[in-house]
Amino acid sequence: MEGVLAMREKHKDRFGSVVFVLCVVTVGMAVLHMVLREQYAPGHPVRLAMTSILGLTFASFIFVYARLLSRMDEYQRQIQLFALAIGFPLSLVLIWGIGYFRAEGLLQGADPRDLPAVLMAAYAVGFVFAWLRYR
Amino acid sequence: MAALSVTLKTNVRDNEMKNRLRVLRAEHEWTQEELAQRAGVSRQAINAIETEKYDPSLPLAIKVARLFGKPVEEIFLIDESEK
Repeated sequence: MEGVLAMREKHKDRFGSVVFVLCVVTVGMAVLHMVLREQYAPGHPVRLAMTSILGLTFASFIFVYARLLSRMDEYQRQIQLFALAIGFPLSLVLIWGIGYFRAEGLLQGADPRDLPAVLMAAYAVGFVFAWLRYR
Repeated sequence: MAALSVTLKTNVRDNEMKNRLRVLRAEHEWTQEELAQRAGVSRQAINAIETEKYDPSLPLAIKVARLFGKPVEEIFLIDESEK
């Protein structure tokens, strides 16, 4: 029993490292993408490669988040649910707000490619609320 | 923002649950970590249940009750004093 628990904990730690590395790689790729996309013309192989890699890292979050949820206990899942319950509608409001202000001639620099950052920010706000509620 | 927080809190705390988890754990001289491992949840989950910030699911409540060898209703109680 103790051995199984220890093994499970060790496996959990390793998975945590994988998630951390994936986050660092994704943020790094996103920043690199923002810098490089201004230096190359649309359709340039470097831009295409960067976009493809970034797309893959984003797609891998679907798998990672699903695995992460399956490893959480009911309390941790409750926190995630609470975070998403706030983060999802907040992201809708933010996206609508950006679109609205762009239509009014404001926030012209806003780019749909940067929307994941808006979604992440909304999720972070939701997570802070959840953490405050259940800590 | 404060109103949202109060609304969420009120809805969650409609059925006030009390529990004797901390007392029973002390009687068995178990740490939160030990109880968490035996129940198959995180230490944070045990802490949140003890501080009554989170109400466990029925399966977890039954599991914890079995660990202490007591009926569920002896550990988890509904506080009806405010109703």
